[in-house]
Formats: sequence, structure tokens, C-alpha cells
Amino acid sequence: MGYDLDFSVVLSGRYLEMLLSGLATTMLLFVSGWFLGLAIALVLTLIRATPFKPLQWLVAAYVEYHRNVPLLVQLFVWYFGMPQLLPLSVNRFLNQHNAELGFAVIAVSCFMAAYMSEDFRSGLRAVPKAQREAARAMGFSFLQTMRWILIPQAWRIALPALVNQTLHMFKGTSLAGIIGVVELTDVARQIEDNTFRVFEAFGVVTAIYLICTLTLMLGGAALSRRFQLRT
Amino acid sequence: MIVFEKVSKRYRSFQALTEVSGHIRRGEVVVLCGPSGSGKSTLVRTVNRLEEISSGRLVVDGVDVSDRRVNINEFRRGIGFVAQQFNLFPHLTALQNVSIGLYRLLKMPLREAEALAMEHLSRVGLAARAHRYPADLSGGEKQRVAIVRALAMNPKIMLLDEPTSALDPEMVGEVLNLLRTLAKGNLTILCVTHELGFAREVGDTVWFMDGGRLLEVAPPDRFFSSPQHPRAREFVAALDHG
Amino acid sequence: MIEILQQHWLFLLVGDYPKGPLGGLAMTLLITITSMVLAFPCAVLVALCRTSGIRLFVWPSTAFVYLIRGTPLLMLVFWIFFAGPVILGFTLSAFATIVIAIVSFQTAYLSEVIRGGIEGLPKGQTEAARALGLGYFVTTWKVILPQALYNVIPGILNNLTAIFKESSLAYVISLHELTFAALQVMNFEMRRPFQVLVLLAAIYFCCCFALSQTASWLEVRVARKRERDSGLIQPNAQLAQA
Repeated sequence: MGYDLDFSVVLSGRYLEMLLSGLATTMLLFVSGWFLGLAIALVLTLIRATPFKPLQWLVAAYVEYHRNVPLLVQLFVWYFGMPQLLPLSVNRFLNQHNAELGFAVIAVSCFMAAYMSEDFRSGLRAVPKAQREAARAMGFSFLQTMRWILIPQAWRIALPALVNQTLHMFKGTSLAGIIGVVELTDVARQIEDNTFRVFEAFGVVTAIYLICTLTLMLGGAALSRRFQLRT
Repeated sequence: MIVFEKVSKRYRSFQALTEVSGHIRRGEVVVLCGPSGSGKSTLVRTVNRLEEISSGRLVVDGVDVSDRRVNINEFRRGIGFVAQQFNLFPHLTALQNVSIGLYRLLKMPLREAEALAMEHLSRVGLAARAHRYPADLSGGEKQRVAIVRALAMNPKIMLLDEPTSALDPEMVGEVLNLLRTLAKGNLTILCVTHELGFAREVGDTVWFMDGGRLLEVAPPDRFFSSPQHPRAREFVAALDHG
Repeated sequence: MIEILQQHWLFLLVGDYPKGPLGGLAMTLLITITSMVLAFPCAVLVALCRTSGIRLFVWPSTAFVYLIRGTPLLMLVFWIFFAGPVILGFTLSAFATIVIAIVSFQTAYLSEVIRGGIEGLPKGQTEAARALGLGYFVTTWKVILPQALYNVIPGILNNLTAIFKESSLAYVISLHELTFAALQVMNFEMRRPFQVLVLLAAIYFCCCFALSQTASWLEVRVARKRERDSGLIQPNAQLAQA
């Protein structure tokens, strides 16, 4: 087909800079989204553990919305939909401060939180009732039982699923390019657009993605093995 | 030490305990026996309020168990509880299983708690297994750890709910040996068991239950040789044949 | 919002059809069904390779699954959209592009589900069939696959839900499906993008929620059937039909 692969174009000068800044943006999106998402997930799990029914339904609705609507549509709702609901001054502020990135972080973290809170919940439910009883019989209070006996077991049970959601979310950050965040996938497209070097641009970026995701997969598997709860 | 006064317990339509009355002296070893479903486990579990009683009065070490003003968590620290299924915490080593109560509940410094836990484990021959997780212990070892976990809290009362019936036959002996030493001390013990030799040997008193009622209270020798209640007679006769 | 729906429902449902090309929800469904139909046999093949125990098959199939799982779907779409024509020498339609991308992607994910089903079967199933003198292909075709696939029906349905959602990525290559239609409506209804997007989300939600609820309902049924069947020798029943 007469196509000469030449990575030097993509891996030098302006394009290398673009790649690196794209990677940095992807990482920023991933790391901040992950921590924010984890925090939201924990709050959701806590709310669901309370006996207050309407709150539980609210969380259930939150979870179902995020699980049954494409992430891309969720991104659009935040990016195109939200400004309509916000006052003008806030919008002006957002537009001056990288609104795309902000909305993308919120979207991916809300998305991941929905899945993770489900994993935490089933982790908690998977701890046998007898464990709670054994702890209470020793004199642990409800909260102490949670803190020292149930949660340490629940997160170990949920760990493989949490690793999976992390991976899922990392790949989800690639959609942020569609609303204008200049992350890796978007950089790949831009480089391709400028150089017509299809294979080099996509090859390099795919390789970067694979290094990250395979590291996550292997690291996650090692963690899961390390903390596996054997009974 | 423990006084039951017409203690009853019902779950929706099922009467688990009916007007159980009796008392257990300080240091007394009471062996609770009876056919399965007779309410033995329920009775044991009322003592530390794992089961709430529906009516009657239950006083443990001068404390009315049903009293809402009692700090139940502090109260339970004085009562050791060992269940049939061990229920060790799988995310902790044997040593941590024993020390966590000392450390988290009695607020002992970690080092001290672990040293004390180690001492307890050594006493039952488990020093070498201290750093193993429950999954790597045999059934007998797990149950010994569970007993030590309860003992380490220095309770006045021990409640044992069929501590040997989930064990393989060859492991029953090691647990019974440990229980024998316990019985010789000045602990007050309420133990559900089917081990008759053990009951005869270490029990001060046998309580016989059937259908949620306490039908007979007698010293082991008399209970096993000449039970009074007709249901008790049937029960003992069946044991002799089994 | 009702107003938007009243005005644009037909466009959201079928796009410009019949005057123009098919679009809207109908296109989304077409992508979903086509992708599933194509991905399913591929996934079975990959799953069989991974469980074959033959290194020549295990290695490439495993590598394929990991590579795909490690790549964002959008990246795959771009690969096919931009690199596809260079390799093939002709332009792919947007429909073909998204279908190929989703099929490659879901072959990997679906094969994991099916592999789970195959590995979840009791070992005795293969052994019993082989003991009867059945060859690998007959065993797989008549004994293993029917049971494994039955057990993972809920999982397959979940993947169908995933495909439905993933088809929204066709928007980026300007394929006229549901998301694309909604964004066109949004450009038309400049003043109220939020309402249009909520409507779009609601349409996706209704379809996917129905699918995922069906999946969890089936999950309960399958689990119950497996419980009933455990202990029965299934291969005989399967062979009788063969």
C-alpha cells in the first residue's frame, strides 16, 4: 500500500509537546475524577445504609441514571445542558476557566461513583451476618463494628470490581475530547488532521493508552491477590 | 450471677422460650442440653442481649439486661461469647483476632495488647500459628482462637453455643481440653453441648430444655442416671442408644 | 419538554426517513442489533480458543482480549474511520465503521462472559461426555456450549445494554443515530438545550433500564434453574435430543 511508517514526525517538536500535554490532561482528568468519584461513591453508600427510604430511592435513581444513559450523553447534559440552569455570572466565570475540563471531571466522577457505590454495597452485603454478630457480642458498637470489622472486609471483597470500574473510567476520559477537552484522544485526532500520519498518530496514542491500562490491570490484579479475603 | 425470671421470647408466631426461670451462681458451670430446636441457643443469646427477651426479667451480674439505660457495648465486654461457627474475622490474623478487642475496645496500647494476646495464644498451644489467617487454621485451631479471643477480654461469664459441634471428630478433643481448663477456673459458664462425657465431667449442673421450657435442673450424675421429667428420660434414653 | 417531543418525535424516532436516510432511535437499534448478531459468534469462538488449552489458540485470543480491553472504544472508532480506508483502499460507511468498532470491542467483552460460563460448568460435564466417547467438537457443541450459554444469558443481555449505549459514539463520525438526531434538535431548540438532553437521556434510560431489569430478572431464574439442576446429570438429556 506504499505507506512509510515514520514516527519521528509525531515524536518530536510541536507534536511531541501536544502528546505530552494531552497525556497530562488525561491524567489530570483521571486522577481528579477518580478521587472525586470515590468520595461521591462513599457518600452514596453511606446514604444507602441509612434506614431512611426516600433517601435510598434517591441514591437508587442516581445509580440507575448513570448506569443506563451513555457516558457521552451524560457529558452533553453537563456541558451543553447545565449552563442553561446556571446564572450568567457563573457561566462567564466557567467559560474563562476551562469549563470543558471542569464538566468532564464532574461527569466522569459521577459516572464512576454510581458503579462503585454499587460495588461497595454488594461488598457490604457479602460479609456474613455472623461477623456483625461476633463483633457486637464482643462489645463493638454499631460504628466500631462498621469501621473495624465490616468495612475492612467489604472493600476487600469489592476490590476486583473497583479495579474494573477504575479501568472503565480511565477509558471513559477519552470521550472528554468530544466536548473540547484537549486530552490524548483529541490530540491524536488533531495530529492526524495536521500531518495525515494516521498510523503514527493513533499508534503512539494507543500505545500510551495500553501502557496505562495494562499497568492498571496488572497492578489491580496484584492488589486483588494481595488483599483477597480467604474464608 | 445470672437470674432468669419467667423469661419468654417470641418471634412473630413462634414461641421460642416460655417462662424460663432459674439462676446460675458465680463460678458455676451450667451445661445446657436438650433436643435441637428446644430453645437452648436462644436462651444463651438472651444473656448478652443478642436476642431481646419479650417478657420476664433477666439479671446478669446485677444488671437488668432489658434496661435501656445499660450501655450494652460495655456490658457485653464482660461476657465472652463463642459460637458454633467460630466466626473469626477473616481479614485479621489469629493474633489480631485476639488483640483487636483489647486494642480497640479496652484501649490498651497496641504493643501491650499484642503481647497479652500472644500470651493467651501460647497458653493454648497456638503461639506458632499466631500470624496465620483463619483460612489457614484447622477447625479446632479456629475454635481455640475464638475461645481465646473471648477470654482475652477477661470476662466474668462465658457463653458457649455448641462449641464443638461444627468440628471434625478428631479435633473435638483439643477444644474440650481447653474448655476443661476453663471450667476449673472461677469463670461462670453457660455451655450448650452434646458432649455428654464432658458435661458429666465438668458440669456443676445440667439444665434440660425442650419446647422452649426449662424442664429439669439437676447435677450431671443424677440427670444422666435418673432423669425425672418424662421428656428428659426419653432424651437420655436416646443418648444411651446413640 | 412535551412540546419538544410533540414537535420532533418522528425525527428522533427515524430521522429523515422515508424522505431521507434512516436515523434516530431506529438507527441506534439497527447498530445495536447488527453488532450483537455479529459479535456473538466471534465471542463464542474467542471464548473457545481461550478455554481450549492449546497454546496456539490461547495466546493470540488472550492477547486480543487484553489489547481491546485496554483501548478506549473511541480510539477504536478513530482507527477504523481514519486508518481503515488507507488499509482497505476504499472508504467505509459510518455505519460499517461503528459496527466494526463495536463488534471488535464487544467480541472481547462478550468472550469473557462466555468464558466465565464455560469455566463455571462442573468439570464432570466434560469428563462425562468424553468418557462416553464423544469427541471434542461434539462435547463442546452438544454438551458444553448449550449449558454455558444458557447460564450466561443475563450477562449477554447486559452486554446488549452496553452496545446500545456504545452506539452513541457513532455521533462523532456523524452517523445519524439517536444522539446525533437529538443534537440536531438541540441546535434547533437553541433556548432549551437542557430539556432536549434530558429527553435524550430519558429515551436511552427507558430502553437500557428495560434491558437491564430483564437481565436481572433472568439472572434470578437462571440461578434457580441451576440450583434445581445441580446433581442431575445433564449431558444425557442433551444427548437424547441430539
